[in-house]
Amino acid sequence: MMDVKLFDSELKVMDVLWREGDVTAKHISDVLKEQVGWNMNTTYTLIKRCIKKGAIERSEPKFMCHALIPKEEVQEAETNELINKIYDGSADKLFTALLGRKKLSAEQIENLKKIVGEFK
Amino acid sequence: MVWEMYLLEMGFSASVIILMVIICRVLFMNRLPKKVFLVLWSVALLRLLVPYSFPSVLSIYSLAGNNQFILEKAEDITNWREEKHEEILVTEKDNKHQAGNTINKVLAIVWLAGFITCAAGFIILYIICYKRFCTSLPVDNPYTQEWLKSHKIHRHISIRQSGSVKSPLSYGIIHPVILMPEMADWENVSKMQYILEHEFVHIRRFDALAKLFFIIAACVHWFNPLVWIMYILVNRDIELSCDETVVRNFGESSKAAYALVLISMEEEKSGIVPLGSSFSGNTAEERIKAIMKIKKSSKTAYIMAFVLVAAVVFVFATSAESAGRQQETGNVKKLEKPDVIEENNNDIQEDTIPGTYNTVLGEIAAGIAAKGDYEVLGKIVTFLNKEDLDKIAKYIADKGDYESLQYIISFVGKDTLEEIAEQAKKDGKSDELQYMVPYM
Repeated sequence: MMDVKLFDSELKVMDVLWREGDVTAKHISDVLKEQVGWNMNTTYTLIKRCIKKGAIERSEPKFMCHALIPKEEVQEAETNELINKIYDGSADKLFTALLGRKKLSAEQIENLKKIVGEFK
Repeated sequence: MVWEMYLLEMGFSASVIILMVIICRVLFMNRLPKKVFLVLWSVALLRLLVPYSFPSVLSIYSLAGNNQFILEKAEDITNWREEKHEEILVTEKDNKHQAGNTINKVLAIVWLAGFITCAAGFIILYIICYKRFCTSLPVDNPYTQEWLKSHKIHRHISIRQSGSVKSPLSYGIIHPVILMPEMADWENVSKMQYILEHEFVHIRRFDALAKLFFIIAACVHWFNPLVWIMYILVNRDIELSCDETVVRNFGESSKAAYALVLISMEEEKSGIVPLGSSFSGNTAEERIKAIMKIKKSSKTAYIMAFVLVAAVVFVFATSAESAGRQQETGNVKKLEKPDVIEENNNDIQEDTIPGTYNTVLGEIAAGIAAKGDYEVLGKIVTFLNKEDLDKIAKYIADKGDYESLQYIISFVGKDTLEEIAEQAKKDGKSDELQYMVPYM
């Protein structure tokens, strides 16, 4: 259960673990250097912050990192927060807003319809 | 001891310049292009950081040098010295030497402590900002790609966003970065173009580098409150000038739109970023008023600006062109070239010393030495510029008055001392120089 909020920068670190599974801190740092231009110190500081927040577990040798929180959990937590903060606690309002956006592609609308179908 | 001299001199003349600029700012702020004030501030900055200044007859220090008023001030200074340093009046030459040197050492340590404190303060602020900014994420959408393409400069600009900043800002000298807050609405093209343009102007003009120099000047002259006032005003003027440039780039009719963008960002204030330039904050009210008052600069405005800058530079930023020595009656004998004085060596009057002096105080000291007032000379000797002091010492030695040299001996340069010693040997007066031995 996620008690602490992860910042955008920390989510980026988690993202690497969610995509690639357990990897070394060095690998995460290399990937992020490539992706967002962070230097090694920055990435390591963020990894340590995540460890402190209980999002990552460190194991030796080689500073292996393991994501303690699955991506779905973060997604749900963030969505709930969004609904509560911005959409007055009503998931319907968020849904309506999403549908109302003119920028939804045909594919996205199809997917949404499918999801609605699953909930019936 | 010499560098203290330079520091005080630079600080003094720079303070005068700063006062002038402050006056100009109050009088002409909305009538001249803001760039003018930046040029004026640069003049002050140069004066603070560069120990050399070229002499000019127009210099206010040339005019001041020929002023009885200054001589009276010098006497006040000697009286002050007398009060503060009664210990020095002790006849023992050793004590005199030590006391003088100790004061200099103490002053040097005090200055160093102040400098390190200020520098440390800025460095800490920098580190705090760095930590906040290093976790920023790059922004990559069609709008930014397009914008970067159309705003190419030699250096590579990055646009990034971070949750730690509440207002857009830019930083970085070699690799400039525009840092946007997380909630930046990239859809709002009209708003975004003003914001980006503003930061772009900062980047293009190397404002971060300029701010760095002003910070260095403030740290070096930390004891001078006018320099801190300058630091505050310079930061404001950099923003105002940037706003002016943006409005010029978009056309005068964009004034209102730009001001509205500024107002809408006003609520979100950013923290203190010493080397960065932020979009809002920074006395936004002053900026909004200034933006609305921007108008096309007329030719007269430009001419006025040019004259103003030239006047400030030539009158306040130059050093005294050495005029001839002032006579007792206060008559002014103004010679245009220093060489002329050398040629007149043979017709020296009793109360003049040949040679030109770097500072007003040097000339005053020379006059005092000429009168044979060596005790008084000894009291102001710590304020003298090294070259002036050596000249005076040589003059006294030439007169054959070796005994009198003891009053200033501890501050005379080693080379000059050796020259004087040689001269004394030739004159067969080496005995009188025994007190000099510890200083050689």
